[in-house]
Amino acid sequence: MSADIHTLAGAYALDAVTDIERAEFARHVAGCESCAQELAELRATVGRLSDATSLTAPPNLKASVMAAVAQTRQLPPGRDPEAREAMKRSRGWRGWAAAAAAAVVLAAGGGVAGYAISNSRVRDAQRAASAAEARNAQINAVLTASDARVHTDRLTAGGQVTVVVSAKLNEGVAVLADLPPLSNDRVYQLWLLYGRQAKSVGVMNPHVLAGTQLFGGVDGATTFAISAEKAGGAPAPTLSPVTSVNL
Amino acid sequence: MTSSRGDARREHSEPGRLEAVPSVDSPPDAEELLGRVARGDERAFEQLYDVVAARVYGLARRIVRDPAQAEEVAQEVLVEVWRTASRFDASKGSATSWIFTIAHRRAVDRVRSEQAGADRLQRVATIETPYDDVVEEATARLEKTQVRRCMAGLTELQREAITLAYYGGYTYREVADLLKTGLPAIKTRMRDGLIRLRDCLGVTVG
Repeated sequence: MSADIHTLAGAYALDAVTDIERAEFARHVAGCESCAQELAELRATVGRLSDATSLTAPPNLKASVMAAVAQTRQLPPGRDPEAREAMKRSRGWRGWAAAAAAAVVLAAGGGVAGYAISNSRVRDAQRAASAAEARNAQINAVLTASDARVHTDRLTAGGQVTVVVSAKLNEGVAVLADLPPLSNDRVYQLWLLYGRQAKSVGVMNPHVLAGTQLFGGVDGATTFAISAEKAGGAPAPTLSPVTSVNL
Repeated sequence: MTSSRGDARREHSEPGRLEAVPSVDSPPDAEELLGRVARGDERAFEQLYDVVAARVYGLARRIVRDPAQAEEVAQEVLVEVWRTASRFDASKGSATSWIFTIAHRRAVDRVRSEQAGADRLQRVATIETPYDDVVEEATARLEKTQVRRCMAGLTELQREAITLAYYGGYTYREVADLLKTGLPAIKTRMRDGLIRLRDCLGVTVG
């Protein structure tokens, strides 16, 4: 991955990456001086692209910005790594939705199901949103952990699995995108394998083909795997996995 | 001639030469303004607003499209600049580059959250007028600037990839889908294209 990550500089400078890739690349740049220089130059170049779209701002914008500024406390000086930026942006439901969407994610967890019905059941959704927020903070902690390791696998049948693991936190995050559709009675189930032992770390709902899952118990796990199982999941993988990623 | 100051200046300039006058081409230095903003100077912020607001708003408008939402995004961005001014790190690039990075990211976050998840993917997969519109409109605007000349020096794939990502707010995966090109190629085109633009525009940092 690390040889590959460097080619992401252009996409990163253009903001054409997911939150995971953003965190991953920021970590890469932090330990690579020439990359930091290249990135600064590419960002400055990208900044010039906004010359082309310059447009007179609405006349009332200035007054409302100045009014907001008069009521906004400034941050004290300090380091502002991408990690903290990511945390900040993910706070609140809108930030949360943005982070989730940027990762092209429809999560399988309960908190997220709550979010999906927020229009019809506001109170439930609020409870779910705060759960989702807490969960999202945990996910961000894994993604931005100093020892985070990123594993990516593209499935032959389509779709992509990215697994980020932090040994220090003993937690991992799996991001699934574009998984191939399954026949009606099958769902995707996620596993951690410890040698020949398997532990279920999540069962996706029927017809859900993308999602983010947070899981613990990373310590000692050798492999992350996904299998197709009957709805509700199985106690142990019954078929050979759709994909497996060595950790 | 009416003031001694005018006379003094005249003494310094050679006869027959035009005097240099402060013009709209040399706006107040954004770095200096941002430094004062970091110390809580609202008047400096107002001046900074005048320097960057049109580009912040224009970019938001280009990406988000909806004028009311673009205005909201622009306001969020500008207030964020005020709030986090002390975190600006000149070693990582210029003040305007920092501001437009915030602006672009905010605008992109807005479109991505609006078109969340699978819905957006589907939309991308079945999109009817995929990129001609985006490319053409952006290109039309680019005509006025040096940026256009440099964009014209890119290969078609480089230009389309950068245009879709920057003005369209698409991820490189979506760009790869739209242009029916593999992911590694798209990543490479974006980077190579930006490097070529950098050299053409004479962008330097540090």
